Amino acid sequence: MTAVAARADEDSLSRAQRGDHDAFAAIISDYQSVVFGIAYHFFNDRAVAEEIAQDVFLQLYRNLAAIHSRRHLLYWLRQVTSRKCIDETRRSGPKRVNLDDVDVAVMPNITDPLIARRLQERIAALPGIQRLVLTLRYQEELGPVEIGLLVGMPENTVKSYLHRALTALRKEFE
Amino acid sequence: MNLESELRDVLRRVDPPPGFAQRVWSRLSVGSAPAESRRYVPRALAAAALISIAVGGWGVHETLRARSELLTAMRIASQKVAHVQQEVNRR
Repeated sequence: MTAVAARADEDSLSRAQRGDHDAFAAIISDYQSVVFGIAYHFFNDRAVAEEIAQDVFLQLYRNLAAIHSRRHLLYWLRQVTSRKCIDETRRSGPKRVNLDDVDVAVMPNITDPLIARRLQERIAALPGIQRLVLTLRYQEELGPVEIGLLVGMPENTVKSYLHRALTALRKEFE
Repeated sequence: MNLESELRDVLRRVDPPPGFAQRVWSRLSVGSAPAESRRYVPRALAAAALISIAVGGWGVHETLRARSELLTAMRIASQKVAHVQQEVNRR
């Protein structure tokens, strides 16, 4: 990102903090795929993911004053979304993923749709916390330390969840 | 098959269905969150003031009660000392 673009981003954040609706709409547009993506990969359900994502942006609107930079904003969104996913599972119990609903259309770059579907089915069958850690690792390209900070667990626990998830998937695909 | 690269494809960022921002806005305008939270500020301030007055009043009351008990204890002790002194002088 150039210095000019970075300054424009910070400007839109401070404009949103002053109550500029267009600036807040721009923030939603910039980060909706991060938030919706985490929730969608966690629940494998577009309706639930939409509800979670809406809740996250409503919470952001109420807490805009506490956000001090775009970097902080991204961290905040990832953290609140991850924790909402965990809380939702604790509140309503683990959701049974309907594997017929697995949506290959969200993966335009995948080479083999059948492999993609099988992989998504296997991910959906993993325990929720392993799914979340895997999503933060591969969707957001985060390391174990950053993931640990987001979900509130030690680095070694994150590594262990990642290892277990990857081992389960490798058994099937390699 | 390269599992890590497939995972990056499968677990990519996903856009919500079209009109997402409008749906967030419509929930915002129904709830009007910041205005809603502002509405409770005067009530919260009034409650905090009442609590601090009550706690403060209770504190003053406790201090006065302790002072009075101390004075009574000192009075009793000094009476006892005087009584013992009288007995000593008498013998």
